[in-house]
Amino acid sequence: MIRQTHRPLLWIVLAALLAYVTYLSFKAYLGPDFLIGYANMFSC
Amino acid sequence: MLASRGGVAITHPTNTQVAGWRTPAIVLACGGMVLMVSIGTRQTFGLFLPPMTFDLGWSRETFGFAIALQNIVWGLGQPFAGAIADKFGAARVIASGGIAYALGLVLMAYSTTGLAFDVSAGILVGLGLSGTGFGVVMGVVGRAAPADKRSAALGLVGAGGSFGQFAMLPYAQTLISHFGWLSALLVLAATSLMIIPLASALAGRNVAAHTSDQSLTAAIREAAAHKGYWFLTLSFMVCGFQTLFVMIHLPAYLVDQGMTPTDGMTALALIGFFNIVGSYACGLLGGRYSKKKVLMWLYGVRAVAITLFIALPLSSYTLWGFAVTMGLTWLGTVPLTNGMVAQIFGVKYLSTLFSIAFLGHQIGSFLGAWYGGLMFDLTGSYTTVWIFCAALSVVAAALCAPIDERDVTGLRPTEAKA
Repeated sequence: MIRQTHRPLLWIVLAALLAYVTYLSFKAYLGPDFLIGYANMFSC
Repeated sequence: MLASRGGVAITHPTNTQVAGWRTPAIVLACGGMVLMVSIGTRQTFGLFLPPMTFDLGWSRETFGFAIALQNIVWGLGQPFAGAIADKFGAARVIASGGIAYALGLVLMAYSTTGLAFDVSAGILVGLGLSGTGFGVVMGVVGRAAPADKRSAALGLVGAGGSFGQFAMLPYAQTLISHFGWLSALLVLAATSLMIIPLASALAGRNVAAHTSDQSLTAAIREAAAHKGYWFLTLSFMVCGFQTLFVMIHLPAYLVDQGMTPTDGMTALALIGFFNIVGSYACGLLGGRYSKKKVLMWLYGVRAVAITLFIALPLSSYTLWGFAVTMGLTWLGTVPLTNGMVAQIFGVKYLSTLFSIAFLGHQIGSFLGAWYGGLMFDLTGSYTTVWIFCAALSVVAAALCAPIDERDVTGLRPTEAKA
């Protein structure tokens, strides 16, 4: 089991990981692949 | 919560007999990850439409029919998966669902005919979703969490599914861009295999099954005789209608209104992100306040958001405001509806009863996607559908008002309380 003292560290690592994935996701949503796909969604 | 010692099976104070390492926190984390993979992967299929139809020479109707079939199989299969999970344990159902999901994705990659695609993307992935979706996973979490923390736990596990919807889309797009759609499907299949080891954390005897002698048929009959269950299912149907209408038709509406692709994608990303926050927040609120009142507020907020969106001149700011509000209320209905079913009928048949209500949600989803397109074809605009969506929100809020949230398990004449 995780020691009580290590628990805050685990939460910090998890929060940092989630923030990083969220940042990457937002970046990808506004990246060229998605935008080109979106622009062509109704014309092909 | 009782502590466990040396992996010895102990009776949990709630409704699941847990052994050693399967603490409620582990159940919650693994349940969230199962939903993240299963609901998230399903969200990505639209990305495969252009490359697959182009390479294989299929029509969009061929692709669309298989996805429609998938939604029907998911909706119809989930009550059965829920019933099996309630009776024999969820782990096997989730693991079997994971296998069906992975197999479906692999066969999708190698389908060259419409029929093969119907079987793989439609039936196998649909069955996979039935076994690994909200109904089965939330049933386990609902039983593992103590009653006073159940709603928050359901909100948290729902947020896992919401996170999957948000993050799996760029993941799949990156795979398609770098490796092509066939390899992307195979990588997604490998990703979905993660569900199998995660399912082992969701094993555990349904203790509620042994403290109540109510049969499955009696439970369904009891729910069917409860007006509140019908109102809840109908309001859930409204949720399905609105979310799928917005998901499918919002991009087209924005293009019609002259918005840029960046605005459109920002709106979709904001809905996805705030859906994570909203799922958890709604679960928390449901644990603190009356769930039906939170649901009424949720539908009320949606009605205001939709009305303002169509009434105000469209700009990036009104669009983002709408996207944030819709995101916050997007899947918040799931932990609230699931929590209310548990609160009224107990947790013994939670997966089954929630899954039946979820079938209503799926019927609403089908109608939302179809009616939006139909009205656009007939009138040349989405205005009528937006007004209808806002009116439906008011109806859904009104449907929640008379629901009697009181626990009925104590009213059963000849059995112990579940």
